[in-house]
Amino acid sequence: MTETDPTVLQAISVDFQYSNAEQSTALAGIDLSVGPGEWIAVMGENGSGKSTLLKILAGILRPTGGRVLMNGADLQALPSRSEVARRIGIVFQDPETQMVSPTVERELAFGMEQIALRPDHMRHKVNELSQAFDLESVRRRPPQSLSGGEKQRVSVASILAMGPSVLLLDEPTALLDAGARDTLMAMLERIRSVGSVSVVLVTAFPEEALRADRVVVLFKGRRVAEEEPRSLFLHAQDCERWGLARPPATLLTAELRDRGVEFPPNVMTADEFVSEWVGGDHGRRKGGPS
Amino acid sequence: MITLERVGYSYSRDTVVPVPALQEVSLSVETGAFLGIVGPGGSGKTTLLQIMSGLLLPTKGRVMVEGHDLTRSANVRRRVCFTVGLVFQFPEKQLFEGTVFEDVAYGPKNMGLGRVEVEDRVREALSRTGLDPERVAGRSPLALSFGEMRRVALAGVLAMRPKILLLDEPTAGLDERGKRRLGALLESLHERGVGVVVASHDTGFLSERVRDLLLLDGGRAVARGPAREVLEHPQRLRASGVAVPFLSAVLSGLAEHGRPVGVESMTVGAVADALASSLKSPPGAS
Repeated sequence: MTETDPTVLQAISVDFQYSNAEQSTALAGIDLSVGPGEWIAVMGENGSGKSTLLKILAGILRPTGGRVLMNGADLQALPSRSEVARRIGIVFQDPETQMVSPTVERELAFGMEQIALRPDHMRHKVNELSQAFDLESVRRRPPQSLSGGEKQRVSVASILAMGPSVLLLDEPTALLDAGARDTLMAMLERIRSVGSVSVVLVTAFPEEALRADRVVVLFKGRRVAEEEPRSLFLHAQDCERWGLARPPATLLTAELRDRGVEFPPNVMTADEFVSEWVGGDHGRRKGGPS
Repeated sequence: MITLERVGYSYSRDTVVPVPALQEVSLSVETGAFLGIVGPGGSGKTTLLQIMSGLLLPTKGRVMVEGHDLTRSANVRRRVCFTVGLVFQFPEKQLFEGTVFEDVAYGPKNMGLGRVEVEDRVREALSRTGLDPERVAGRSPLALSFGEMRRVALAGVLAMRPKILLLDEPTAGLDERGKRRLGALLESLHERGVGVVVASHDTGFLSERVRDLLLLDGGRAVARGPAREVLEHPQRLRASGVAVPFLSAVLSGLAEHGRPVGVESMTVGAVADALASSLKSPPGAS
């Protein structure tokens, strides 16, 4: 194990094929590396292999080719499965599928119990996470009685309780309304500011991908791009071909340019658009026919 | 046409803590309507759709479908299920027949239609959703991709040729292409005179398509009107925790900065037109 290796989690030409032979190769030759504290978004149309890749990164699925290294050590060669589970946390789209305990605080402690942490440490962690994820008022309630947003916060918090170095999130906000989505993303941003956890976020939402350091694009099981989100979303034709939604701001600025209005293409949100428009320098008609 | 008169619904009403899901909702949906229902999780969207379809009976108020009072007799409700079609959230989870054909044919068969008519309807419904009947009809629905399964489930409702189609979170889990395909299908149904009612978190998807919007919060209808009007003043949406669509956020942001722009409709093209022409006569440049 190389302690100085700057990558926390690395996929090296990973292949994966489902056993029922009628399906084509689900993943082919995927390279991906996640540095400490880094945020990677994974985007791609349905069936492009996003969830499969995440399960391979979590060690749940064994790649049929290539390797996945955690701090330089091959996941499949590690002696203990629980060590992998402690270091690499995964949260799925539907929180219903992963709740096992009678109360929220027992759920938060569940993962820690599996790795036999000291009780006082567990109590401290449960307190800390209840506060960080705004779950204080529901600690003694059964997870099933919570709203979708609260459930998903419990899922993320109970994974973080184990102190993972990487958090893998599979479209965690897909089933949430806007309020719950913003709350969850704001809490993830706070974790990011602490900088100790790397995140790999599978998402269909360009607004969420904009938060990432890099976006990995999968298309028909291959990695076709790895780019900073702002530059990725400028490539309209590529995004179209790969079936990616782009920030609506890029569509509006393109329409404005078609109407002869100069506007910087690198405007990605409504707030950015408004301040650019009222800011004065932009939103002016090109010289020419008036 | 569906008319709701001061409809209320409570879950667990036989217990000491009945949970009110809908309160005092009055609404009418014409054949030919294109209505979006928005609201935070738990605001009553699903309950409202199930009441409109006759699947749930309101605990207060009346529901009329084509002039018949649903709350009066089971006979009326049985007839209604062929007039009003409901597509549940994640409808692909309910595919159960051995072949796509049988699954789509299930509804029309229950209507007592003859074999030829059923076959026609299955073929037409599958084609409408963009599936090739020749390719998929004989296959197991479970062997299809997620997006295709969603379309088979939708075809199963379309095959009953409802006059009003209700859809609960139809974009959930769909990718960009799937959303666009669904949007085009709903628009074409609307153009053919089918009433379309869509409950969704995806306000961006709705804002580009529906004519009217209804905002539910805490089981009450708190805003309603032409989509453009509801979206031009998104404070109510924001206060209810509903996503404010991009164009709506831009227009309200510009208005807050003293640069209001009036638009014909909530489409990217219309907003770009309005912005471009506002530059010809900048406000305050007199």
